[in-house]
Amino acid sequence: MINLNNIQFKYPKKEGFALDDVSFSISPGEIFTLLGPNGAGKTTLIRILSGLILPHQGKVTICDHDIQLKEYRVRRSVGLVIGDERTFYFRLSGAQNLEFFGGLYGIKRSVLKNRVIEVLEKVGLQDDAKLQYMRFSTGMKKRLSMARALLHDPDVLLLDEPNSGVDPHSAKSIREIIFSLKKQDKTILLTTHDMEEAEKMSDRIGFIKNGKLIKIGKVEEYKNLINKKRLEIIFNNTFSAYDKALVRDMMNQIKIVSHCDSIDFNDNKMRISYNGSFDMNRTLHILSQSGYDISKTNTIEASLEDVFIKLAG
Amino acid sequence: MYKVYLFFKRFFITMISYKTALILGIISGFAGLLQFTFMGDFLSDGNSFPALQKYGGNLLSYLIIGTAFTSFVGVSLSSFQGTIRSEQQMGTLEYLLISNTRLELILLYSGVMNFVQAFLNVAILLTVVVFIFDIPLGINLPGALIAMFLTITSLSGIGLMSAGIIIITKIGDPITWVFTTLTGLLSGVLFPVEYLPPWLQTVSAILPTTHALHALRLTLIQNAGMAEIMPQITLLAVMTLITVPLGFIIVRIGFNQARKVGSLAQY
Repeated sequence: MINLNNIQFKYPKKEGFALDDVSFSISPGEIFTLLGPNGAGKTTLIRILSGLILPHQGKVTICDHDIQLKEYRVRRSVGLVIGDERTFYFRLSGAQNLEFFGGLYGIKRSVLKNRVIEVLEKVGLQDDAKLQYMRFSTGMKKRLSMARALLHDPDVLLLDEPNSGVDPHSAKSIREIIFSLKKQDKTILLTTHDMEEAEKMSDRIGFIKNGKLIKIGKVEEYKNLINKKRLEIIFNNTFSAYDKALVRDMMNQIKIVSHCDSIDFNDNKMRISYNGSFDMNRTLHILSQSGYDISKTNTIEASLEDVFIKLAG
Repeated sequence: MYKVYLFFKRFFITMISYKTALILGIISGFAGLLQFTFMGDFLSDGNSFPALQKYGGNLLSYLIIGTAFTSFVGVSLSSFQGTIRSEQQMGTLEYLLISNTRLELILLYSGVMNFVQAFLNVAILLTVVVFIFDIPLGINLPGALIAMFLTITSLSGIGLMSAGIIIITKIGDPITWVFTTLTGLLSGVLFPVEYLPPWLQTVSAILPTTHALHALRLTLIQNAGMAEIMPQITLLAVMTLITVPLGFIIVRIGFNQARKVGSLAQY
């Protein structure tokens, strides 16, 4: 449904390419998430797909149509959500804003009013339809943005940080809308800085850095990139300042003998990051023998955030 | 005192960062001064105003139509770039541009709204002033409307060119400034062009706004027929045929150039 081949783009007066030889494709019913540090090229890529930026090289097709040759045909197939809140007319109501944009998308007047009601219900804003946009909360603005993207029932949705700055409740509701769109076989390209969201939602993830797409894969494939784990040890002891100094000495000792990467100590918790060669039994043995009363141990798998930090770094 | 210094520093740095606007602002000040100098000469002629005889000799009707004309010139020249700038500031421009409506139509629809607003403002102003001051007007309405329409369309072409430039440059463009300043100074808005030095009268004769304003005054004050304003109408029609298509081409070039450098939403 979305195909990018060798896309290249460079902003004038900026060193290096904003996008360099980027190629991938997304199928209908798939949620493809773009991850990467700020300035990596995610938003530029979304703008290219929506026709707001013209690539300097390469070819993009959406629904089998070249985005430069069949510009207006492609526009009918694409719904866009940009992270910015200021994309509506502040003095118009939510419904009036949607009616305006729906009209520009060429939706016939006879069906537009019902379509506006329909999408407002879909995003849970039916009771706020007549409220002026300037009175909307951030979460409502994001949902209205989603409603606008759905107005013309596009096959492809480009969602640039649709959940940035919203509370967990609104974020959940937007995630549910995205999942319902996936069920309708829509092709979804998402960008986010929320690793938990990316982990929950993505069928595949593309990691972009300095304009280059350095990896595409499923969440598990990313996690396998690093075999780092974390051991969390909770003590029954309460620690005095003197004890803490002793613990620090102990930590250095553990670091040397147990082959771990790093150790943090806070209140009555010790967190040890390690990889394959870590000797957990020996560590626990050292701690017990030194008189530390271990209450509980938890082993935590590497998260997508760990992978992000590794790839971005 | 340090806080005052900080405010001054912020003001100064911002001011010099808009170099074009700064220079144009200074020149505008001089142009305004010049305008009032010529107007002073004109008013010192006493109550008879011989230069106004071709428009019936009434100073107030002469000035009111000149002022109303200026507002149409302003809207025609700045409406399109104003639309782009305000949509950029509201963050809605990108959503308009990815819709299924062509950029040219978006500008046209927004422009029409501005013209309707300007037309209503001028209509109200004229009606009120005419009744309050009992100004003698002899109106050839069809002629006046045709002259007004062609004035708007011909200048709108220049306004479109200006919009095309502002999409790329993001700052005030010289085209609008040149036309607005020259119209105010040389087209006979506040004083007859006969009060200009001969070499400036030559420049005035080149300006389409001089001819448009002349046609408007003749049709609104002297009830002039179509035959009398035909030379001006023809000139404005030819200008429309040249500037409007050229304006649309420049807007399209500006739009595509901004897409090539990725600066569409920047302002």
